[in-house]
Amino acid sequence: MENREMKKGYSVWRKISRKIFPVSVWALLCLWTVAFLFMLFWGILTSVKSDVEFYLNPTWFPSSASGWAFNNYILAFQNIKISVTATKTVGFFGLLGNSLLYACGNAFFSVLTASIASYILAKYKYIRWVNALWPIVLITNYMPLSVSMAANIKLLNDLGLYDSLLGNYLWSCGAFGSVFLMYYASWKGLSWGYAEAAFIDGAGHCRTMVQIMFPMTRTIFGVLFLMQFITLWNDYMTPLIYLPSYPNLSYGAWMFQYSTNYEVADVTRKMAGLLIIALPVFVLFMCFKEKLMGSLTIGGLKG
Amino acid sequence: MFCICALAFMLVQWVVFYVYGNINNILLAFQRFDAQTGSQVFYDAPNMFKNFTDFFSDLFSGQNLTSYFLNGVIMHLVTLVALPVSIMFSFIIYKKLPLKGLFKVVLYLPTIISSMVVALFFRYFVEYGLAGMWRTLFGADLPTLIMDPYNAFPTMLVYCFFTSVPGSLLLNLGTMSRIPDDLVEVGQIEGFSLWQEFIHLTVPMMFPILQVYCLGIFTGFFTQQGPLFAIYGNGAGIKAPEGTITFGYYMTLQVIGDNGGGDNRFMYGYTTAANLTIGLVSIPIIWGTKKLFDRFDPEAEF
Repeated sequence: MENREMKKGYSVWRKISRKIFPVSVWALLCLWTVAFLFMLFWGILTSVKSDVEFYLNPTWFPSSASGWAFNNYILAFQNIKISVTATKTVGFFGLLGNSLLYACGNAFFSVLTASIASYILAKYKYIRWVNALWPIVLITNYMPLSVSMAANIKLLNDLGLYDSLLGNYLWSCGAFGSVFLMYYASWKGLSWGYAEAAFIDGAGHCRTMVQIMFPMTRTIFGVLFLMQFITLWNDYMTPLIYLPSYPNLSYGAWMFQYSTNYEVADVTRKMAGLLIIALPVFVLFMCFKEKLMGSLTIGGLKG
Repeated sequence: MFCICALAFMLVQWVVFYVYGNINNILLAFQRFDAQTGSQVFYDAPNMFKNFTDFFSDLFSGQNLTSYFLNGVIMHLVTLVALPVSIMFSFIIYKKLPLKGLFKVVLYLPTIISSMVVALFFRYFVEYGLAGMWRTLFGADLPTLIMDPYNAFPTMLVYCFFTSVPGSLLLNLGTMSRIPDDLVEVGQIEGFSLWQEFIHLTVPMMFPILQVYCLGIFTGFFTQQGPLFAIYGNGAGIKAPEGTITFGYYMTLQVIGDNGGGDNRFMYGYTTAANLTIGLVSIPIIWGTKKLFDRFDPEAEF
């Protein structure tokens, strides 16, 4: 009898103990989600409050209809601008254009160069000198040699590429970084038989790469492009340091905080401005959510 | 011929921006700014290592730079602590527990929204939203969390943990989804709990990606800037409390910060020497980490 009770007790304890890990992590995840969503909700709520209402009641909903101020968005939109020189000011659409040029160009060229380099290294490794290029990949990815910010500024100035979009494309389209590793994994998984069939049909190496092999990895190209695009879209340090004449929206968000214009000096309008700046990439994310989520792995990455 | 043509541009780019960039970096560490010519010139032979000696004397003087250095390391350790939590969160989503769709989108949001916007949201929320809630609930004022010299650094650590937790959700989920179903089923037949599945199946399968994460974390171990530039700016107007400043933020301010009209180029040599020293110190740490991972790698193929 006692033995049966003990067994039953052990079984119950075993059942409970099996649940401790998932339940506790799930609860922690819920807590994080609630905290993040609450912060976001607070920001959105603040952005549509009047100044007076905000200072009287900074946390909850306005107590009266006069407490709402949707025109915060109009005022914020009008004041998102950066003075590049004494005479030139870049407004919201200029910042948006710069963001697009900076993020699209850099993302496209960096994924393109990485895709070509990884294709050659994955499929032509029987050529001795091609195989000998592997140390470049290892050094680029695993040696913590980082050129200092000051040295980069000097280098770009010496090459006449400082504050130039084209120079920035050239600088950041390095082929052997992390994008290379991700693309390399997908080339490795793709059969060389397709290329061999193309060669038999008379296609050259270039045509085979462009017309046969590349179309088969267009999904991974798209996903890597989107990931790079989002990272670059949110990058504010590079435009701030190396492209002062091409401020982007993220840089704009930072500058907007220091705007001395009285119209946007209040927290409510600053929050509205931040939300306007965050909107384009959020819309993009919602459009490509399914594509982005679930397409990416980093298999076969071991160097 | 095809391979040469296809790789020519990439190799030239690598030589110019990586090889020449690093050579230029080393040279700059032995140079100083000459205001008359407006260029960087080499120190005389007796003072060749002046930038390095200056850096070491600042670092070991027990004054500001030492604490900046320690702050950066602590901030980075918080990121390291967040890594297992981030993997566990991904695991919960991968196992399709309730609300997984919501978690997936919300965890990915900090990656989508600019870190600048998230940092500023956090700053205003802590300064006004949290303070307002505290007043409503407890009837007292919340201590200043962003500008107070004692509270600012812990607040930045909370921010680092909070924003590091989502981690690389997509990569984690992508890698987890590649774990063969057969293996998971075998685990279930053996009576694995989710914890056992996580420890004995998921983590070993994710070893290569964990290695990449850890190498990434250790690469920036000493130069972590955190959210300081976003929250406290470039030193003009609002100043970050002294106890919050990290080595990375300090170095950034030296190169691009507002220094009251002074020429930042005077600090190029010094910051480059510091960067080079830190890079050299990092090499054994990175390779040690890699060796450690290689040694304990379960070598799971899937």
